[in-house]
Amino acid sequence: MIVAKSYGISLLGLAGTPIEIEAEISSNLPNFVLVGLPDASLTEAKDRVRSATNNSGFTLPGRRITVNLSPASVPKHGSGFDLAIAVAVLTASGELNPKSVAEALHLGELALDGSLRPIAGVLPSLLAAKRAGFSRAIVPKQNLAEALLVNDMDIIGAGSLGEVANLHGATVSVRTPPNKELIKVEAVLEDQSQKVDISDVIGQDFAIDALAVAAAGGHHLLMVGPPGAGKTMLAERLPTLLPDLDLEQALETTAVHSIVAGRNRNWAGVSELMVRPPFEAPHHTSSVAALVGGGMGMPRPGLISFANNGVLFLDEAPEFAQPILEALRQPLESGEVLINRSAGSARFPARFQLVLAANPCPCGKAQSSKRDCKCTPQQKMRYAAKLSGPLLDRIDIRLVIQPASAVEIAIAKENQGLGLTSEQLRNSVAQARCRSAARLAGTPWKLNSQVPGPYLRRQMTIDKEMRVNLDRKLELGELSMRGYDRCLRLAWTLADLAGDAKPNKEHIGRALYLRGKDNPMEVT
Amino acid sequence: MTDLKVSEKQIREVVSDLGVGGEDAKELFAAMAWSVWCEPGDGFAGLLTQGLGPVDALSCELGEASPVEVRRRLIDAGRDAAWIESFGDFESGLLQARARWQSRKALAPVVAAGDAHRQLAGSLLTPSSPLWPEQLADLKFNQPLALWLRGSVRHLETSGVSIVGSRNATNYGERATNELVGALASESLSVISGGAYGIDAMAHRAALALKTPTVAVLAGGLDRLYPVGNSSLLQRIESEGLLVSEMEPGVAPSKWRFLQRNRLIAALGVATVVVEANWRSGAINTVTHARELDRPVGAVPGSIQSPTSAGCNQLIRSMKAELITNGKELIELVGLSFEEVDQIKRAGLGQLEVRALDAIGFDNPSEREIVADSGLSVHELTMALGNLDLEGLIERANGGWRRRRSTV
Repeated sequence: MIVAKSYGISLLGLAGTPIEIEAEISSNLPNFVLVGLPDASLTEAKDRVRSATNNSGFTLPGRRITVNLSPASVPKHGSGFDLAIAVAVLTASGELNPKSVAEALHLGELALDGSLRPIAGVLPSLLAAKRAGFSRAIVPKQNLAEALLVNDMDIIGAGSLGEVANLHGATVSVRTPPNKELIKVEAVLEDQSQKVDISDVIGQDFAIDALAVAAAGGHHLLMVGPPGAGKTMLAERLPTLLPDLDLEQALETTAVHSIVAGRNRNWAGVSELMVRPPFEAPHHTSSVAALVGGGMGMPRPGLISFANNGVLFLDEAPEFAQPILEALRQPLESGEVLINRSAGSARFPARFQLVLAANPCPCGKAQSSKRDCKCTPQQKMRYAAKLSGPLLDRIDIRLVIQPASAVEIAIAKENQGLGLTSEQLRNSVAQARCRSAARLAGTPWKLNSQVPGPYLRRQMTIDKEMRVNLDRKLELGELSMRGYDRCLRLAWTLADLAGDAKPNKEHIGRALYLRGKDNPMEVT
Repeated sequence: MTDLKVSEKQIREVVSDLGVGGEDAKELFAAMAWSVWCEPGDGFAGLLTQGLGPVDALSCELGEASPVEVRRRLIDAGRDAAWIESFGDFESGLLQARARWQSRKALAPVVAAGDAHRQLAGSLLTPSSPLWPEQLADLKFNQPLALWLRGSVRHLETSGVSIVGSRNATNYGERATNELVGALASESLSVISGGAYGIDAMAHRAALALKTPTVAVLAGGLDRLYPVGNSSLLQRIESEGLLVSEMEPGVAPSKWRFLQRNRLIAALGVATVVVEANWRSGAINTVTHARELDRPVGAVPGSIQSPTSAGCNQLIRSMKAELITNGKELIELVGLSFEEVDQIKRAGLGQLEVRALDAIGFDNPSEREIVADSGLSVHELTMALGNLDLEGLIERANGGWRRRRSTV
């Protein structure tokens, strides 16, 4: 009697726990028993394993097969354990080399014909396995590209259970599974980020300038303007101004995308490291769980985590349900979100740059002298109040955007080519970010937008002469302490963009402009 | 030129380092001598110095010119009989005044006062100086003969409001003072008071904290900072504001001089506001002066049971003062026109801001239109708009910008 062992990974959020799979064959009535807190889809593994082994050229003994997933207290879910269970059972029946099986991590779902199907969450699973000390992993072929993002591990892609069995000493004939056409993820990513450019935006010099500042300092941004002013166009181009993610950020973001099948139109996992900042633009009818994360039983990441290290764009922000907007406040503060569900708690990264767009009123025609708005003052007030004070407090830049007139567009088109391209702005943004990172070295922060007020006021001193007007307004109570801090933060970013060591009067004046009104939608 | 019976060299020595800039040494010396020899509010000294100029008036006195001779000189200087007879019969008036001046009419006290004031690093402001506060002319013959200053004279350049009140102020009074000073500071108006305990001290403190100009008018010489308990505050006012007195160093503050000091406080401000005052308070005296000078007067009401508000409530009831319950109402009382406030604020603006402000005008242009009109770059314009917005000169409206009228 042998107890065979193999290993898989159970994921809860981005945190993975190595799971030991024990299989034993004993002389009882023929049966297949799976114990150790499996969920419904995992319980079905019994039948997939039995069919797949039979169709791969093995015959399972007509006795009692017991498979235990340990530690039994950790909840396990999904079809990713199929392969590990199958090799454990085959080892118990003496078909495979126990030592070779126990040395490798096995991930993958089995088809009834014995071929291997890709699963979600390969990247975070392998990162966890590497931390747990595994040096070898066998994954479905279609997940190989994603798996290879993990360095210093011996990773093998396999197309079927037979191929895996042969790696562990069996000799069965391997049938090549039918070629499954995969949608190339690269193509999708290119569509999003490569084809749009900030130079497409015509006649919005003020907004482009503000967008560059937002990109350089990581400042959250609110744009208010009538429909057709170009708010969405501008927001979509913010990611093109952001520099590439560093390796740590890229792995973190790619891992979040990996755990949910069906992201990026790829039917499972990801195939390459996401080096470009992600851009997520949920519709305003989205639910709290879709945005923040959640789901039934197992916590799943929401869009704010998919936008991690990138941009979260809420178009028509006042149309979002109030609880959604308020739910953003805590992640905006901490850069992560903790989701508690019955099956466990998961912590997901959510360090995103928030971009809100709003119409000035429900009909969209207010704040413009050329059109007449028919909203009542009450309607306008209710609309403006949707964006609460605590949420707006976290937004450094508040822009009012006006559509360019036909003449202005015509003039701007004449001069096209003189405007800055995304690449040029991205370079100056990268330089500004280097300066702020150097200044903030040794602190937990990298970007000016992350620096809290007290540190800003005490450690990052600006010459008194430069901020004399600002100080006076603060003392008079015409400027709140938060508004004061916002000005200082923006002034530092402006100085970084200009390559100056410290903010000067010009930077403070421009910061005051970018700060805008407390609530730019308020009735005037 | 008139002979002063003192050598020019001596005059230059007496007045050296005492001017605020640009004065003639003789003028300065004469004003100083008149100021030392006369008590504040000596109308006859005012008549002579204003009619003849301090230098000629002084030489008349030193030469003991006969009253007839002095009258002839006044007529030569273009004054008519009615003006000369402002205090009744001129000749007998002059003889009475000379009797008053006789005891102090010597060079020694002038030299001593000059030396003492120099020791304090003080300066002397004369009515002929371009920096002389024009509003003091409302005092007519009672206009001060000179002002002894410690601190920066520029604090007299901005229009200000006189805030006066009880020496034993309550918390309520201090909070009210704070609010009023806050409103004045946001309009860049200065705060004028008497440097005493209570409301006076609070008004100065708030002004210093908000960095708006402040002027303390003292009753005695500036060598003794009275009251002693406020000496550290008064020293701060010297370095960050301005101390003013009609009296030369060495003069003790007496009851009479306090009352005369109040007339100066009332005259220096464009308006006077009483925050807390007892039934019989010096502040009521200041109000009387302010009303004589046609200055608007305001009073902050208080509890009917609070003795420190009895004077204020009475002023309101007898309609001698307007009811003031917040800073905005005080600014209304001051009654500055839009253009005046605009001018005051414009003075502190940079060149780019002025260009942007002119381009905005009153027609609500968009940012793109301002760029086209002003020729400023996007960066220059956003900086200017930010600063103008902070100063409360412009506001966003209808997707563009417009001048703010609501400041008054």
